[in-house]
Amino acid sequence: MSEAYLDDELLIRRAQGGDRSAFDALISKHSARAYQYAFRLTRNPEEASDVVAEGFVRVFNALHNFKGQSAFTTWLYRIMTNCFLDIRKKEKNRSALSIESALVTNEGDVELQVEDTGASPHELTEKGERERRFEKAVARLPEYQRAMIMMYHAEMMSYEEIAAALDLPIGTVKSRLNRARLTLREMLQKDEELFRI
Amino acid sequence: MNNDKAREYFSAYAEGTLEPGLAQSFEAKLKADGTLKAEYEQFQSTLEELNSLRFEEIEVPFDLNDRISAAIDKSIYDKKRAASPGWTTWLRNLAFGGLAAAAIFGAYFTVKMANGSTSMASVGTIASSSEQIQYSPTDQGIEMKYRPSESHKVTIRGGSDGDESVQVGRNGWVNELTNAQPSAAIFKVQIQGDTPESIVVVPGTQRSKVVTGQGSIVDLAKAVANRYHVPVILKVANPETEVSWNFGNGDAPSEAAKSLSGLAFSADMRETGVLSISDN
Repeated sequence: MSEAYLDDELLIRRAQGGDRSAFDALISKHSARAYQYAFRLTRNPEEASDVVAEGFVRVFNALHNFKGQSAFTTWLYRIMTNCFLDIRKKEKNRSALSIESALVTNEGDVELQVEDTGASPHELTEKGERERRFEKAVARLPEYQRAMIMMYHAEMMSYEEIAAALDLPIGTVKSRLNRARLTLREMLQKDEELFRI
Repeated sequence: MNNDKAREYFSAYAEGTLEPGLAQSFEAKLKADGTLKAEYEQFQSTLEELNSLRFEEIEVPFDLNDRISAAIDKSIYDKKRAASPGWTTWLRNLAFGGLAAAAIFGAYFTVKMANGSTSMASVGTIASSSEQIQYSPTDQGIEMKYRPSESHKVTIRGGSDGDESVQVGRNGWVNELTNAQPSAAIFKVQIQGDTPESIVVVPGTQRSKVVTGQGSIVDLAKAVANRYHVPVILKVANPETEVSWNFGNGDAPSEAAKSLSGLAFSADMRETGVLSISDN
């Protein structure tokens, strides 16, 4: 039987004992899912690969600290999210990103990053117009809100799992997710009004 | 219930988790406020679009796992290098300036005198192997540092630029062998008057999953470099000796040693992260 089919717990125990092939098996088992999550956050294949590679380096270096109190995947999501946030933070420090607008929420989320797709409204095809504007709106959400949105709606994680991954109370996860959805609705509504002009 | 409060309940109401009493108040609010009702309907549409995210097909790069492994290997090397003695930096300086060289030699001899010993164990391998090239992994390949007690010619064969020779004096010399190819590359390094020559195997950009094979000691060294992404230095009288291997779950030195058991060779991992195979 391939090692990739072995239980996470067993692979982790072996990897903690220095078995590199067990760690490779963990990579094989979880890298695709980690990449898909990272891609959803970044919308950039190269950056997504960087997030995943850096994330697994952190997993490798911290594996001896993993006590199995949460599922390995939950821990992995936490690390991937932190990598994504750290990489974005570094980028922000390195170069000035264009800021289209600022949105101050009750919890102090202030920045909206604009990821310009380069396509003007006229260039958008009628068929994909709504989807592309939706994708663009999601990309404009603050990173932390975007991570939560992706965990819940794309990765189909429960509120409890998100709370465990982000080390937040469930109530906070629920209220922040609601706020992210409200923000998104508002952005889409404004986009739609602009598009109609 | 004001509008802001009602918005706080949008998600819970849409998911059906709002308490019955609050749900009733919420419904009454929507009924009384057409604008808020329209807002809630847009919110529901947004939720539907969000739920469609899960159906997006995302193609995973074919080399993702290799990239992850390479990043982990680099992290291991960086840690090892960070933990290695500081003399490597001295030697790099040594190769590039007379003043720096004088200061470094000063530091070197100061340490020696302070120890009052000729074994020089406290300064790592520099004294015991001063007539040998020191190897340590880099991001792109392997770094060679050499500081002989008297001038020697060093010849490197196997590089893309053909054979190269350099006369190395007491000021020392630093060189890097790189490999941008997917699989391991072989270089032959000969110090004038020193036999056998060293065969330096530099891992490529990709990590191999192949665990079994048969061939010469050089082939084994390549297989180890490919599988474990570690540089291997081979210094053996007969590199054509036949050997077979079947790597298990151990690390590079233990699997190489296992493959060489019963033969007159030994394999050991140096502090710098380079695997060395030599005659017993």
